[in-house]
Amino acid sequence: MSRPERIGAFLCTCGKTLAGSLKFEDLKNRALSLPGVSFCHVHNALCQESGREFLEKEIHSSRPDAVVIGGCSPRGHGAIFKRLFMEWGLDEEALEVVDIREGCAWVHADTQDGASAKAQGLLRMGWAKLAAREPTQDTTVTLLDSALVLGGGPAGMSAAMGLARQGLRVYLVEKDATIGGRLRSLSSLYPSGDEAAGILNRLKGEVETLPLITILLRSEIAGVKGYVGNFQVQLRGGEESKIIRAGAIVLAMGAQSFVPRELFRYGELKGVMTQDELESGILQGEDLGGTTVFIQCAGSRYPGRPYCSSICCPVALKNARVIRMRRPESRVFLLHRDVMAPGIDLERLYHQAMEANVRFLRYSPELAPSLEGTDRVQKVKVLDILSGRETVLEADRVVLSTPLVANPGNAKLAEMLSILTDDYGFFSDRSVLEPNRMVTPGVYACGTSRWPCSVHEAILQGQSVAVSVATLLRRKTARASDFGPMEGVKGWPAVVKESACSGCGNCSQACPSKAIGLQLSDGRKIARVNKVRCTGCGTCAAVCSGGAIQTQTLSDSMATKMIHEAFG
Amino acid sequence: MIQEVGKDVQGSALVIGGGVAGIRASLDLAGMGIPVHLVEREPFLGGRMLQLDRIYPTDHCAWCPVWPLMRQVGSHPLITIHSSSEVRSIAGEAGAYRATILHHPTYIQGERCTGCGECLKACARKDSDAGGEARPPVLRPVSYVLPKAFVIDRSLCRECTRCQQECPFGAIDFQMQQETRTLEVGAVIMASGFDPGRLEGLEEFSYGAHPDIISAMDFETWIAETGPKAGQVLRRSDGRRVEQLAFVLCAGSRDRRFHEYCSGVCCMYAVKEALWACQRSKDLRATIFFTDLRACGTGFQEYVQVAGKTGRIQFIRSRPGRIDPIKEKGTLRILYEDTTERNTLEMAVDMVVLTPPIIPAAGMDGLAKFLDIERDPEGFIMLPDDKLLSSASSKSGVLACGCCQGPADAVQSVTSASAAAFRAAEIITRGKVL
Amino acid sequence: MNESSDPRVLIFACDWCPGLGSDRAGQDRLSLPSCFRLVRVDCAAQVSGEWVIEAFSGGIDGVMVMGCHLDACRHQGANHRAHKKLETLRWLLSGLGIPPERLCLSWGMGREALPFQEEVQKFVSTLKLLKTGKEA
Repeated sequence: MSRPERIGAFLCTCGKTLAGSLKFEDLKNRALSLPGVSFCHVHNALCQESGREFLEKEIHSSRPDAVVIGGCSPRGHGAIFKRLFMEWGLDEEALEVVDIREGCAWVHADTQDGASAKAQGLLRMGWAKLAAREPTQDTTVTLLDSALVLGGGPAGMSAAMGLARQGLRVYLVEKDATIGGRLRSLSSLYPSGDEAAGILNRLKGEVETLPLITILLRSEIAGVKGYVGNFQVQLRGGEESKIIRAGAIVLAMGAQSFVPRELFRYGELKGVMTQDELESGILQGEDLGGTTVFIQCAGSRYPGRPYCSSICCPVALKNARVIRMRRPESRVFLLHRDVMAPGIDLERLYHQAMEANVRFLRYSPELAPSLEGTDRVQKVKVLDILSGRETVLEADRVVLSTPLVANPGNAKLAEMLSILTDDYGFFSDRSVLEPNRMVTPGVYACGTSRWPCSVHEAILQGQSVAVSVATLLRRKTARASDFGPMEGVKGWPAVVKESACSGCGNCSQACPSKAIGLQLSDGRKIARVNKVRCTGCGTCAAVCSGGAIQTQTLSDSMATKMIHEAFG
Repeated sequence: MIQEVGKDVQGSALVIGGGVAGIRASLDLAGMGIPVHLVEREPFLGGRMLQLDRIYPTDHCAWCPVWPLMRQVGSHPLITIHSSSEVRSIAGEAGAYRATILHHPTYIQGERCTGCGECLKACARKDSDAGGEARPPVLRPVSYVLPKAFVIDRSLCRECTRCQQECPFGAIDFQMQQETRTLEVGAVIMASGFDPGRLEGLEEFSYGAHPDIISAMDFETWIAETGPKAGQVLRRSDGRRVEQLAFVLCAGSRDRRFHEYCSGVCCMYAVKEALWACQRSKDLRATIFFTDLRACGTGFQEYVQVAGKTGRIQFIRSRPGRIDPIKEKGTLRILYEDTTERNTLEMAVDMVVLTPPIIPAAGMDGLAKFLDIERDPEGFIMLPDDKLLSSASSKSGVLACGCCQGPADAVQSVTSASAAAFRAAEIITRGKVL
Repeated sequence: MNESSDPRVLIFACDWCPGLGSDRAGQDRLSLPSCFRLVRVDCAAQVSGEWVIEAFSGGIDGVMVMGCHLDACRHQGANHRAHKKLETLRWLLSGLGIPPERLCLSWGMGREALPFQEEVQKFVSTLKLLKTGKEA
């Protein structure tokens, strides 16, 4: 481990913009007086073609160990310099771009002395940071070109199909004896009205014939080891147990329908059923004549379960219309609190239901509908908000639109994979515009295991995940630093100096990414960093009392040296 | 379900629209090794998301999740950005399209611009504070958008050429001409987004008759910390603080006279704007007039509850019948029926925010004609009946994502963009249409 | 402590929100006091208590830690713990004879140009007052 001995400096005057506010001759002379600085060139436009050529020529001829550039902000225009270093095959961490423009000359235009003194301080800080840094430590991560998809429903099949078509080997793991998930028990899909069986057959057809897909039925995950690029997943199927190695894991195990025990006298009165049971009835051609009453939000949108399960209204609208079309003399009522049909397709579904003469009544959560009957349901009483009248409906059947709830297995899986679930057990995305990506690199979730969604959306998400996974794994290798807090942002892994580590475990406890564990080495506990989970936040280094764990972007020695150079 | 495309498939893709959906599709395609031409009609990428201040339900700034994507686009060697550009014509079929792109002159050579801003400083016609309406002709890329170069909008320019004289890098060239480029691509992804629909037709709401009857998109900019009033919530008419604020949802949506469909995102963003207005103005009270409060996504119901718990935001289930300015008082009067009491009531407010319908972006007509793709009666790109071919338009080889196929939020747009990229890649890399 | 009238201020600013604010303030050509030096960090959580103490013992008058809004940290909420830790430090500093006002924590305020300017100006004023307060 050696620190940079020769540091080169470049100062940019940005045309005339900075020349007027900063004293460049002074800056140059001061830079040259710093230990290790072997040259300092002033240029008027380093980002232009002439400037870039100049930079390249000087760096290649002088070969400094590290370079400091005083110019524009590295976040904005100055980002070009890191890019150039990468293009030229140089270590971009050995470059420090010091902002003497946005952060100095431009905000201190009223004091040339102040601005120049500050520019000097900032440049000294940049030099200090480079002088104190250790060479970058990064690890190469091998990426297997295979993926494990957990769940053979629409999301899982779509993901598997997408991955295989991009040339990856896929292990499609399904706990049941057949694949298909929810598609096996649905009658039709919204908003198209397509028969579920047709979509199921097409997806199944693809998945069963694509040579790169191996389907493992009656199997579940028992354990996971490893990390992105090389997960070792232990599967258990009946008596058998096997280990699958995969570069990425896609969770698509779906969700469960809430069973509304005792709600609306379900289980007590005959004729009171869930939406799933209605789907089954539709598939089997049951008699759906007479009066059907749908009750929405049965078990959702109340303090115990505040969320809206988003698919229950569209499903009810679809089925209400199906009943009306099949039995033109039937009467269908839909009791709701809000008709959750956002967007074009779903609002159209709502109109179609209205045109099919489904009657809509709005109830308030404080006065939920009540059912009457002794052995079988007979009446539904509801206070219709719009008319203000209590309405009594003679009902032959009552269909309860219940929410999807997270699979009870999600929690255990989340712990196994160190990913997050929300308050309801659904898998949470890592960040806002990265849907389907989990906190653990290489782990994705799509379909209803992530949040209630339609079959159509589940298929789309499966394709979307397939693209992300294939793009990642096709690279064959990656660097640990490629896995940062968000895609496209580097995450330089923290480094442990084992001889200084007391094994106290403070860092492990504090790490918000659960990237640090304690392992035995020569009989004592040492902190070990999972380099792909580490996002480089620095929490560990800040809580370590012995300075044994450091971040690479700003270690204790770098920071201390910078602090002392700030004001000279 | 899978067809072969003819031989000689072109190896690159065209993405029309540089908003979040277009950016995501471009990154996905480039990540698969496919060169992408990303065409954007505005001078800068970012689309509608860049115009937002905050996003729901996290309340994060709208820009933060887009910035890393923007950076990747900028540094990806396979993505060519054509900004201030439009697609003039396009013809062909899956595997081989020929597109003519017209680059409007920006009068500043991108290569030479360092973002120093001397041009803006020198510009005679700078931004005067007329409610943020007056735009200077020199446009600055804000918040690290791409492309990095400044741009001159000649239509606003007074031709004083001071900017040209002040530019230290000789980057300004008033002789710049428009350029036409022809691209041969294998697949096209439409990501042209949406425009807010016109509110003028809603006579009962008096939009345009009073400056304090404002469209929700304008309102967001108006109360933003970076907005013209630095985060204060003031009336546009007389500058007084807004104490009573009203939101009227479904203005022009779910309306047989205009657009029958639901615009999907308005319920949530109205709650967001109400929350931020309350946050920025401690005395403010807001009323949200809604029909169905469509809060279905993860965290959405809880977000609505947070709004209710402030004690300063009330929800009234009603579609107002009239909004009129009251001259004598300077306030606005909303006439509505309380659907639970079944009586007609009046409410006096300082400002009314109307949520406009989401309609396909202008220019969609021309593009759809060139590409010969079917659109639904509302003008959105129509998806085929076969839902498994989601993202595909009626013409194989042309995919659609984001709001050009219907109202969608950012997360839905990004998901559909990746799915569109998947299909486009199928055509380009495997010569197959899924 | 230094002799000249302006306090010496060190600002640790995370590269997301406050970094953006610093750049925006520059692009808008706002006027800021020149007595501060900015240290970029990947996350405010990177700032260790030892650095803060090192700064004070090295003659720095005020240390400011700027991070993202407490709910918006991209490093899985690392700034939450940073906030708790630094708040604790602030009160421990008084045991070292350093008034707690000399350490300022700013979460999510520095994202825009004007708020960034305000945060910095406010802190510098506070430090100036402390100085005159002492001399009085």
